Amino acid sequence: MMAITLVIDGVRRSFEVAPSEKLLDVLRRLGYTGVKKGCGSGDCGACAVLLDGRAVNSCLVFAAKADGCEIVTIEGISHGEALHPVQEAFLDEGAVQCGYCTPGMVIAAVDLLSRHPDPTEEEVREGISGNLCRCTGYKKQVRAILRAATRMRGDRDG
Amino acid sequence: MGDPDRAMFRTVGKSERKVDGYGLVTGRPKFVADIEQPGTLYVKILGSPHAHARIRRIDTSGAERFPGVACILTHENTPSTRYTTAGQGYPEPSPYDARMFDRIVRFVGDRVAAVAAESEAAAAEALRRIVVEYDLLEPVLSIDAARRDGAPIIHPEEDAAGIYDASRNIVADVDIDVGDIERGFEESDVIVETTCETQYAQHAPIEPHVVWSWLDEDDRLVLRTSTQVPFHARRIVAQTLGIPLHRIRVIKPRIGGGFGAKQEVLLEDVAALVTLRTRRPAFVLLTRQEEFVASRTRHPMRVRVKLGAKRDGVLHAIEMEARSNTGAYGAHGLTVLANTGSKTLPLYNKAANVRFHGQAYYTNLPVAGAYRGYGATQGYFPLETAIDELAGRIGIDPIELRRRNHIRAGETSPIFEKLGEGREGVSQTIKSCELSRCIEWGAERIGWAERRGVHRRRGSWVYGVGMSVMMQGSGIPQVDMGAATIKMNEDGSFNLLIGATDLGTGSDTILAQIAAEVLGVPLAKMVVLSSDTDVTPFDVGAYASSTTYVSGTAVERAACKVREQILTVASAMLEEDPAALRIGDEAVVAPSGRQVTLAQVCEQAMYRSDQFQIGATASCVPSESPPPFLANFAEVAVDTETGRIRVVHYVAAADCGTAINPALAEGQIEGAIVNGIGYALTEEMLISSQGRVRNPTFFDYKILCARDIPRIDVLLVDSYEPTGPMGAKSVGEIGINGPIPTIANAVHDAVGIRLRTTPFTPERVLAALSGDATGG
Amino acid sequence: MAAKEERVVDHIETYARPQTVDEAIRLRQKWEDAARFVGGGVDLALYTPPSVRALIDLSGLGISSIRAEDGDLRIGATVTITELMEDDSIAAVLDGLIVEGMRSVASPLLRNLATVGGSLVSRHPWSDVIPLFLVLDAEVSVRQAAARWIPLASFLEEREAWADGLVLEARIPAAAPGSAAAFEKFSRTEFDVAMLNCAGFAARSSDGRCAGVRIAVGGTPRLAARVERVEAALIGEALDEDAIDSAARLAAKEVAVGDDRRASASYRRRLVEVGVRRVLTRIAAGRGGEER
Repeated sequence: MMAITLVIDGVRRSFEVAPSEKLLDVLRRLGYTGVKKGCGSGDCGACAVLLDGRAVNSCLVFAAKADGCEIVTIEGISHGEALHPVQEAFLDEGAVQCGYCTPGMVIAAVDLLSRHPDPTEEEVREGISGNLCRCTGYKKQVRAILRAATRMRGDRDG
Repeated sequence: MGDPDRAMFRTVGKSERKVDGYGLVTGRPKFVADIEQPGTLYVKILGSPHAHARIRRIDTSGAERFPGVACILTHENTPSTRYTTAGQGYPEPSPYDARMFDRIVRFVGDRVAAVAAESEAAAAEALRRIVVEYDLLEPVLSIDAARRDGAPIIHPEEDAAGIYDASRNIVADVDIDVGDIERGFEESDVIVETTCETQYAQHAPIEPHVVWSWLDEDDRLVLRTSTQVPFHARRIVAQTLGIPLHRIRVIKPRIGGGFGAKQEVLLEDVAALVTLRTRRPAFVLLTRQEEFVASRTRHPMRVRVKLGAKRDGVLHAIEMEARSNTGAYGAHGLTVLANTGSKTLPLYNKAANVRFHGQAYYTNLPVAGAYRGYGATQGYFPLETAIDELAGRIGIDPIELRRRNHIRAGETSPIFEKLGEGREGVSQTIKSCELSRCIEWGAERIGWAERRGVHRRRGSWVYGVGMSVMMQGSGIPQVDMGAATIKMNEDGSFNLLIGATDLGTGSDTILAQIAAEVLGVPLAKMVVLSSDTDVTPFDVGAYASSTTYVSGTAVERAACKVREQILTVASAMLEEDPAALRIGDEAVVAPSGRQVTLAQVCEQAMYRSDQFQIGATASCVPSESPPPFLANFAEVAVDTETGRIRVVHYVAAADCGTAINPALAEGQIEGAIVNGIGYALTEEMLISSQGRVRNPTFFDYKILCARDIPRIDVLLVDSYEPTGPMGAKSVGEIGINGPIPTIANAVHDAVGIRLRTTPFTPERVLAALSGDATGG
Repeated sequence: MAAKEERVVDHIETYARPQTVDEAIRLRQKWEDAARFVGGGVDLALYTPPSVRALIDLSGLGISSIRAEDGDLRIGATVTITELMEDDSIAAVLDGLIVEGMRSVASPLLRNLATVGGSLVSRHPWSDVIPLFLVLDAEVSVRQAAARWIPLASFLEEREAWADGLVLEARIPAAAPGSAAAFEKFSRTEFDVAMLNCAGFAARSSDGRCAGVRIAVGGTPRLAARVERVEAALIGEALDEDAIDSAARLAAKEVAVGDDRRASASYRRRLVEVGVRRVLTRIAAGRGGEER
């Protein structure tokens, strides 16, 4: 076992991990159940978190590798009661069905918009291409992200 | 309720935010695996490495000794009761051919043993220490092999029940006819015949099957499980383990998709038995690999359709023959087979001569079960491509041919009566059908006239358009039952308790919308609790597209009863005749304009005078199953150099009656379409010559990602079903039936080939383009 | 029954995070073949062989930058695929060829984690990075006792010789003016590995004839390799339709293909021809990147 320190959703936490443990399993056993396990092999994206600002499959990150890093999970995306514009847009557009892929997809969308505040539809699709969804068919999720982008840019009719 | 003016609706017909949406979008702990139980044992299941074998000896001593192991289950120490895992109404129309753990294993991945230990890693390690000696049996790895004389018998056991003919591996046999099929063909001017084959596909819900079981403080068994069928799960666990049903509570929290895979009692029995034996909580979660191999799949089928038509294109004779592979166990074998005909053939009711016949076979392959579409998906493939061929032969537009043949409001089909859920069906007359409008709108949106027969080229890509039409059903008439309880709170809010199962479909939301509409409150004042067998009234669960129509009607009825009670209390408060009172905007209003708020009404009834709990329970058993209708149009591009098919634009125009929540209705169709396109183009479980699934991962079982989807337009055509709650029918399944035939027909328009085997991989398309007989 | 916190013995004993290359090499020497270097860790997280007991993380070694030096582009081994795509000097290479090619690699989530070094070292037969870097004439700097530059193709082939080495950097020489390159990937869906891929590069002399040609085909299902006979056939030729067609058909004969879950050999043979033709056609038109 080894000691690591992470800042998770704004809170610095120190704990012990096994050298081979993956970030997903560590986060879930610490109670961050918003991070979902869908495949454990980096194929579905349900486990996505921000690692130093970049969306990654937490199932493929060695927890020890993340020592000293900043992690943001879906629970850290909203601020208190106020939802992030991406979350609001997902609700408004009906882009959440079972919700299992939603945390990972919101994380991917937040990463995308931080780098591309005015994305094309093609760029949005690419941005969430690593997040598999079996319920929605992606259409409303893409629209929600475009809508959130508009809102975040401060346009009036977002 | 009468025929209300739907323009006056305050919440029904609006795309309200889902009632559970906030928690989902913020990642609150809502799924089975999110809420821990202290002292949990983690359970891993050992799957058979062989497709067909008898366990000669099983030695668990190595596993028993492993640190952290608390309990081991095998065929030697578990009940031998035969049951079906199929979540269907009792008595289930599926054979009782499964045992918790059997001496014989019947597919690669079949249960051999289960280990419960202090950690997942310990359970996995201990599993490796179980030594099993197998006597290999000859495996049956295809329908053809199952049909051969002298084929090994997969279910020879004496205590199985409900198998049509175990000695020939036939789970089910269906044969119905109307009129005289042979004479019908003789009398026809044109005959078209086609045989289509569909593949093994898996639902791939992003959340695999999972269950957490424990004993509560009163020593009752609680199962918190990812299921579509909580009440069936309770009954089947009670039956299988021989424990009283009233000692079991099944709770379905939020679940991560089902699509039919979770219309099954797959893990609950194991978890329950571990908990009962150890008195500790038990957690079972399938890995993604196990989800592919050892949960449930689509039924692969070979379906032949023969059409006989008059010169004007009106169908005179239709024959459909289906051979279905139901895998190692017969769950849903009969009913999926029957639905292949019952949900397709009534669509073309002009044909006076119809025959549907088919068999479902056992094989030593992954177990097929319920999967959205439920046989109709496999049936529409040959039916809608044969019709397309017929149009070509007669020389009329495929749209026109549909118009001349499809069922309309006021009409019926003898198939409704002849073919039900594995037994006779229920006669019905169509009361709502806007298929003509669906076809018209869809054709316009895709640009049919401009694109059909044009063969536009762009480099190596050739474009074409195709279409198909379909119907489904809304619940199982005279079989399905759903119920709802509504009780009022003194702030004018209500609790809506429903057995109905929300898999993410949004049924909690739309059922709340129905109740809120009747009771004149905003959605936020309708607090939903669903799918808890201790608290909510019975519901068959989420399948057969039943929730909106069946559970919705129960909700509407309960709400009406509650409204009556409210008006009675209010009439005393206002001293007015209840018949003159109106409810709305959270108040009861008299003709004079005087009013009392709903909160005041409930406070009156709860605390002040003639106190009683305002509340009611109501049920619904539908007497018919009004079909939704769908017209699908697709523009595809075929790369003639590589055979790759790209769907450019997909239009689905739907008649689902009143769309209680349009965004959610669209979402159902959009999701079903994308799943259907995957089924048509990229998804295929590859099985080795030893019966092993070669690609049980997302890495090699390809479902569509966001970059793969076409432009999708879902058009909800205005329609009203008089027998449905607020005029609604269903919408959950029908969308998935469209892509295969629509794409196949569009490909034909583009490059003139007929594709008859899914998935339409680039290799198959290329082979067909070069005239290779095996390609299509 | 064992205590609640008992874990099964983890075969990984240590996850080390050295701060210098020397330290990393020392750790490798200590653990020998039981050690693995970790870039993004994607492959190792997916599967760590049971013989592995030590993981050596490279992210603290300062080999994560991209810079121009002596006309070459030097890419640190722990640069992620995303960082590669976002770099201006990389974007400028051959009309955005690298960026376009990387867009088809895996998903953005994986690209944020996977490193250039890891992508080369893992030698995945379906890798998109490898054929691209091969036609860009890349070299890798491998540190064993000392660091030396090796052509990528040699590094890939001589697996044993470099097994204990640490890849520090890749370098891509500047392309001559008038050069063009293209990349084509065939896959089942857009988030998928290649069932076949093809990268091409051509430098042309003032009369428009090929002065240098590099073509690499991967996912055959074997590891990407240069198709030398086709390259040789194109030297001194104009890239007209006939030459391209012959080259494509020759490639289909030359490249060994096989069956796997993703495609059959015969289909791959067709894809080789189509892929080479498309790549050369785009190069001839002076267009880089991938056609959609």
